[in-house]
Amino acid sequence: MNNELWQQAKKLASRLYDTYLEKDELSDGTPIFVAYNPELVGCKSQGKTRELALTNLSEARIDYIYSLLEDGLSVPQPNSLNTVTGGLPNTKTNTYIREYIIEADIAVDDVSAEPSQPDNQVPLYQESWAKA
Amino acid sequence: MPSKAEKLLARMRRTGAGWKSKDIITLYSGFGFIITQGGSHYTIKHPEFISVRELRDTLPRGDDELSKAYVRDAIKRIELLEKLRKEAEEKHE
Repeated sequence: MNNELWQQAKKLASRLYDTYLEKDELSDGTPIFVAYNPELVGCKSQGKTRELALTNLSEARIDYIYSLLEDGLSVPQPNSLNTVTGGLPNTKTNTYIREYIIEADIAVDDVSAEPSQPDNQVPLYQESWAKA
Repeated sequence: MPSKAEKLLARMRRTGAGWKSKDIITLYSGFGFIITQGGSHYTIKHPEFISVRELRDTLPRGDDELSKAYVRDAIKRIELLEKLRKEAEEKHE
């Protein structure tokens, strides 16, 4: 592992990416939370609690970004750097995250169903701000 | 004759239940994805389409049991891979 790239990945991963949480389940039906950053397609993790899912996602984000850097690819900017956030909480640190708790479940057999990406569809969700 | 990975994909399409982390890794490997051990997660990418971010994934290394979202996403990723391969072939002809 290239330590310099790893440190760079850690720094980039600490930026304020949008974070989404979905309720899902394991194959045996046990409930689980899946967290992902829509700006980083394919970067996701899971946890038995929201907090654990978010902690695991922050680790996955480093691995994901490291992989991009290793391949000489650009790292997508967080949406927070590209858009005006209006009245939303503004913080100079990455201590706040945006949570969408998506209640709707997608049938696993329905492979044509899009994941609950707010860009593609408007899911039923509760929006809240929580301290990470 | 369908490969082991193709049979696995067909079974996953039928049901999203009962799959473990190693099955998803077997599926990805069978379709030519590269699986790299990162810090706490495996990172997945495809050597033919390194710059296609939609073909990248992360899998937790410590969890044997994965959310069904991983199965859904893996199926969609392989469908995209097949589409991209087909497009590349058509362009080549």
